[in-house]
Amino acid sequence: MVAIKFGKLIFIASIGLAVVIAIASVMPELGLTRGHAHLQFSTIRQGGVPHSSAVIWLGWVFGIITLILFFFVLSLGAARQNRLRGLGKPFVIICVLIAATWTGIVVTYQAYVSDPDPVLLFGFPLPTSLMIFVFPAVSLLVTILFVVRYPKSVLTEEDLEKYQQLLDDKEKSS
Amino acid sequence: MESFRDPIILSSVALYMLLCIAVGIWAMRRTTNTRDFFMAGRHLGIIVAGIAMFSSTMSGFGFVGGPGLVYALGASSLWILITVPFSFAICDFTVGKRLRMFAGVLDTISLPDIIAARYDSEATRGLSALAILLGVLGYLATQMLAMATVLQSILINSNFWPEASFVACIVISSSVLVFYCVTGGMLASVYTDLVQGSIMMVAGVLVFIAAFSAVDGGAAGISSIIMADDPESMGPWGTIGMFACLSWLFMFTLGTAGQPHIVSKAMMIEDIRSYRFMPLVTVTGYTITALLWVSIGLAMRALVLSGQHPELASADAAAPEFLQHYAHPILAGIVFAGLFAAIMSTSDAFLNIGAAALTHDIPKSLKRPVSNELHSARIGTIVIAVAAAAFALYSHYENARLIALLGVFGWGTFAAALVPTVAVGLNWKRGTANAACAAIVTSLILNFTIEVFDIPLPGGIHGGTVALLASLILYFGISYASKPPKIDSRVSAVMDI
Repeated sequence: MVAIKFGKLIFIASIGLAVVIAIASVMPELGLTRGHAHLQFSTIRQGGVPHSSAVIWLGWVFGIITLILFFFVLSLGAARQNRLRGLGKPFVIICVLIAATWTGIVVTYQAYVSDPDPVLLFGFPLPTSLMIFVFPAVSLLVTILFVVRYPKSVLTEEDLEKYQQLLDDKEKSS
Repeated sequence: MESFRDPIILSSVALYMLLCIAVGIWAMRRTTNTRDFFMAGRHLGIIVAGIAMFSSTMSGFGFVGGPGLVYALGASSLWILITVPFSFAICDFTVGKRLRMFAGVLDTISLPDIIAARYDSEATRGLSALAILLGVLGYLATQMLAMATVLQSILINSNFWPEASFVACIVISSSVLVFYCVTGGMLASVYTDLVQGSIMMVAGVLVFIAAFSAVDGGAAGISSIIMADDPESMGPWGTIGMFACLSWLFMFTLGTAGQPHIVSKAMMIEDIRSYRFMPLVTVTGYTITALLWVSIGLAMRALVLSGQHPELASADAAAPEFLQHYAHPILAGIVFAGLFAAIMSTSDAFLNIGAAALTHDIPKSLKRPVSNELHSARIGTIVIAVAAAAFALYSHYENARLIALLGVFGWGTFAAALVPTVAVGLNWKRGTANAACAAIVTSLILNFTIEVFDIPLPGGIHGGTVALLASLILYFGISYASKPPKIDSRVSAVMDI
């Protein structure tokens, strides 16, 4: 089993995100705000012109680093002595599934904005459907993983004994 | 039935408030010390703790601001909702079990207690308590403002008290909140949260059905109307663009693990083994209540764009307008009670952690602990409520920007100050006290500076995201540049489990 230093990985991913933001700040298209007020209804805003390909793919990178950073933080919380006690492979699989969903949203968005008659799935445009229905469903796998693996990977019998020992020591000292 | 709409709404809200008072009286008899007052005696079952956790997360912002955001910005704000399973999972894996263990082993009664023990530093305690206090004042003032606004509209519309002033409404609604928080402390908070969370879930499901029935063709009909007006608003980034949406995703998903009113619930459960089921309760509850956020916002946008409803006076009027015009009177009554429930369930948690910061943590960090903590905690709760109400009134009559300024000390500051310090720090022994102090101070300065000077960021990226990233980088950078810290043996032992 390989010991991984998740602290270092979170640090590197955070710097990566800062670099993406720095690049975004010099892209003229991103400007400072996006969208504009509706011509007829002042309380409603419109998005206006779709994002260009360059912005979309920079955003894709931002999204991928963000998702990977989330998994590094999850791993930091789950790891003991930098080992994931059976959670490593499931984390990687779920991370890949979420990254694939994210990529699907980005790719289908580009098709959506160029299609005059876009496909609706469950009443929403395809990229929005992926975002509303698939993204949370895949994220839910992390919740299920926590529930299923809790006694084996999060709080084992051995962990409980150590915790009880600490409580007993506290009782004795007080 | 329609002619009884306003009396039904008024009765529902009155009944709900009476219920809160009754819970306060019940809890008062069971609150005998500070552990009861701040930690509900650490005897909570997982259902009660889980519902309290999700209902504290879904505040008035979710029930009023959420539909308003969807109405005004299209699909953009859904990025706050779609990773809720992830948000709670990050909380559960990083802080859930560990906070409960620290509470047991170190007998702590607040989050800054644990921070002080972890870093062996009273400065980290004082700074984290200060960040919490500032965030609490801002958040609480906005919640009180929302409560008074809704109550005033109900009283005036029902003709029960047509001249009800804003001051009277803030006094009435805050008094109920303060009553059960002062008498029953956290015990009253979590049991009112149980009632409040249940009402919110019922409201979420019923409104979802009503909203999609209000427009011909349901979800597809709504999408067609909105897309015909502006395809981008129904796309995945809505009207604010991809980078702004991603910044919300980052801040709200990772930031949940730094919200003291949410994570402190983990310290209150009785049996640590039952924590296994915490995410099932929180994710289910939050997802059901979020149905209201999405459905009302989309339905009202479509109704206004298609000319079936006049334009709203403001985006935040989306939920009240929908309930007044498209919901059955009984449903409207339930949802208005749910609205108060959403606001109060968050406010009571803030009052409690604010009182702990004011009467327990700040005095301890100054080496001036108070003698009768339970009595001081009750007084502290009243002081914070009065201060927040004063801010709310000043903002309403004199300076609307004040609340917004204090509000930024809410989610964004908690996230930037406490994610590195708590979510990372409790799992990473290399983190130092200086790094924690730097992260907290940076979060306060950056969040406040970006808001005060209205500094625009590229692509509409949220200021809280920049603050969170900066504090994370500083925390790791300073820690790596320093010698590894010495950690108390008991703290180290808990971190090893």
